[in-house]
Amino acid sequence: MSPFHTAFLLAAATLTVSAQEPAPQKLKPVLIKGSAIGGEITAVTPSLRLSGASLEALSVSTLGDVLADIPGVASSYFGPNSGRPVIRGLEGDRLKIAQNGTSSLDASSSSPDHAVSVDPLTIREMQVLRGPAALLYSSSILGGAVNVIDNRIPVERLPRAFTLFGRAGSADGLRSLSALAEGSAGDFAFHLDGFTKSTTDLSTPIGRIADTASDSQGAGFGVSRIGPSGYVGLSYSGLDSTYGVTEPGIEIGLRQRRWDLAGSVNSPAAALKSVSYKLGVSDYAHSEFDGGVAGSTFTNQGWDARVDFELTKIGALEGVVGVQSGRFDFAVTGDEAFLPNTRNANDAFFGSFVQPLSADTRLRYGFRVESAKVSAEAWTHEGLASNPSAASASFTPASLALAWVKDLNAQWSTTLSLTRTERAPNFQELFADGPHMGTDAYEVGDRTLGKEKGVGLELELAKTRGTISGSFSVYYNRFSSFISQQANGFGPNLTGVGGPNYSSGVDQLARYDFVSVPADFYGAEAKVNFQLQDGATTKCGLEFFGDSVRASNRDTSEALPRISPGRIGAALHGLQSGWSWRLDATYHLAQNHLATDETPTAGYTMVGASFGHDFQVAGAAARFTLRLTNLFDVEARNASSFIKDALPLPGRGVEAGLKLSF
Amino acid sequence: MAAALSIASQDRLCAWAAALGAATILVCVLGELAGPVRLPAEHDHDHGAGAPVQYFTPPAKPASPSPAIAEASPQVPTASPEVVAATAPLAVVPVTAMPALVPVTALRPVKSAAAPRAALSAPPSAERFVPDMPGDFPDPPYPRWARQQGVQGRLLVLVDVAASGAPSSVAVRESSGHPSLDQHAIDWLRQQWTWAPGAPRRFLVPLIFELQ
Repeated sequence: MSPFHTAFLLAAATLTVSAQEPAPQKLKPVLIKGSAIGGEITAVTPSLRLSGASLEALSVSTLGDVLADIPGVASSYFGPNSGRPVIRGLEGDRLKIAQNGTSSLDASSSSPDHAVSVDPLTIREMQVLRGPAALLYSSSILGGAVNVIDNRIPVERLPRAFTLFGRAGSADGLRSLSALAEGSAGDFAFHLDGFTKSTTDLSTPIGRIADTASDSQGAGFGVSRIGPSGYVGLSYSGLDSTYGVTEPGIEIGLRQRRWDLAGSVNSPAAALKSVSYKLGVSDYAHSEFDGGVAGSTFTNQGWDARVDFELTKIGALEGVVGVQSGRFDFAVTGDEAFLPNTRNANDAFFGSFVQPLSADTRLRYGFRVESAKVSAEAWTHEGLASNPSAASASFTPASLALAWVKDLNAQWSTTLSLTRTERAPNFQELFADGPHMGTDAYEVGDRTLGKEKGVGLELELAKTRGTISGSFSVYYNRFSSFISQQANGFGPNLTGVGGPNYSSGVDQLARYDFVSVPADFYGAEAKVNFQLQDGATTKCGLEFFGDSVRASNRDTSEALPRISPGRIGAALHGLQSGWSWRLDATYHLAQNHLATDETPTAGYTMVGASFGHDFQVAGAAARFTLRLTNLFDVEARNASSFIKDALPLPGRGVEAGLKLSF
Repeated sequence: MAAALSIASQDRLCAWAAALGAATILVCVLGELAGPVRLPAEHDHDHGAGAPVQYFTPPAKPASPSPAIAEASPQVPTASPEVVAATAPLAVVPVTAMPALVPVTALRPVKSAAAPRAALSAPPSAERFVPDMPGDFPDPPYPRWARQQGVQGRLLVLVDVAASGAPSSVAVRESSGHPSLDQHAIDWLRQQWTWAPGAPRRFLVPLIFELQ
């Protein structure tokens, strides 16, 4: 500051003071902490959160693939179009996938070939919740819970935004374009999104795999009224998708339409910080076409609603309590009618709390009590192995979680968690009886099944700050009763089924019964990042990660099926001259701990690279991404996939994306 | 890793235990070597392993409040026209009365609005806002869009408080560089903050939106 300038300021100061204006008093800064990962210490904080550029840098093929690089997570990989995350060996109904907090109301938990009805292109944020916070969404939380957020109902006034995002890939012939428009007018905020995506048959090191192409379109519109005391909003969305599932001539056509209502009221009463409510109403159907003729049709019509009460701090205690209620009718018609029509009802009461015990210790705890009822209609078909009469089953699962968190110092912390979960058997585990093409099995349920029960113990050591950060955790999950599918000879002779599995003269399918067995899951996960360079515009880091899980039937010591073998990997990442880059190599071990009739998978190393660059073009902010996958074109089998023998992982591929924000 | 590969065929479990154990020891040892504790223990540890490292590149308009503000010199307000239009007239604001009241350390310039480690330079005073005066001053929420897009920033807001205790005007004095974030903050202060009734007063409120 020049002397002249200073003199001018002093003069100005004198003048203004003489104008007798009151002097502003400066307050202490208000610090508002958000979190891209982790978060402010609340009862609902997810353990992992992906959004923005972190999410865009990942695969868009299936929900399972999006999370598959995280230690402890695998994908169920049923071809390039269908895959759910598998966390710590737990999948299906054991791993809840919520959509904006409510159920996705699709058919994905009933069979691995049924896609999750959320396309990764519409996801704006993905949360993985563990421990007490996961009880907000599910009572089966030994693997955690996943919540995907699509922003379709705005919760606040939104800055005007228009985004176009195009991607193209070589391994799966990906062509996708998605568009997003958001903005506010007065008290109203709106959101509009749409995408179209197509893929060709998947290219693998053993050649192109027929019947894996896909074609999907989806759109959503939402509008909210936002006021000083909260918001209320409505959205409508739709998804249409057709995709192959590697079986010759078989194609799945999926259609979902969904209404959502959501709102929140701030401080409605002294004891409440906020009350938020959500309702989702969905109409889902998918048909399995055999040579263009609809063979089987699965429908799921239902709703799911929840109300969350965020409590005002009681002393240092913070918490959320809530209720969730859902109903859905699930029906299957056609060749693959391996289930009777069912009506499913679920009501839950839950709470999750954080209680600081001292300056460096806090206790997180939560509970969830559910009332679940499955009612099946009377039915019959050729070869039915079980009782065809109408029946219903009711359960009251109760789950508890406790986590003791201690900060060892400003950088290190440790968490000891104890979890007890109970899960009501689902309609399939209770009432299935028929040929199921997705699993190539004759599945038989057991209507006398009791609740699935398990307890889990986990110890985590984490270093969240500093040049070196990372975490290490070991866990042991012990199920006194785990609902598993066990081989039991062959199903009945069937005629006229006509599906591809029967055409080769096989008219008997292997029979699998749902039975309750005692099971053990144990494993470890580790990740460490060395930030070698951490400037404002130049960064470089080295990361190591690994995970391992072992699952077995405690009675027979036999391994449970489709468990990922361990893996260990390293990645070098950095930011230089406006380019972010990442090179990684992951060695997946062979899986030789197998269930009966399961085939082993060999070990393999996957090497990949990705690049990102932000720049300006014609007044728009642009982001270019490039991903190179499976650089050495290795033939790899995913041990957690049902169809690992038929379908290897994708071969060498390049995927480029360009995102323009106006 | 080469060692792990060769052992793998013999006893993978042992190899795993050893590898993970070694990694942990490495983290511990290097963690201790990494140097002294740099931060107050005000953060959350409850997130697990896994989020891929992602660098937030600086936004198009990085927030860089001028040091001059902290030194309490007159400054043409940098709020965007949109924000200015929505708030009180700034012309009458006597910025020059600040020297006696504003500690130089109160608002440091932000090197980069999107630097994830901005927390490291946060002054000790940047703790949870607990004003020592009667009134109701709830913290604004972190906007979801800003969190998802990695938007951070600091801003300085001038609030005129009427005799009733309600804000009569709320204006951005120093923009965060993101008009929408500024708007979010002033809307919140105008709607949610109330003081005890008394003589008309004015306050400068620094707000720091920071991602961890």
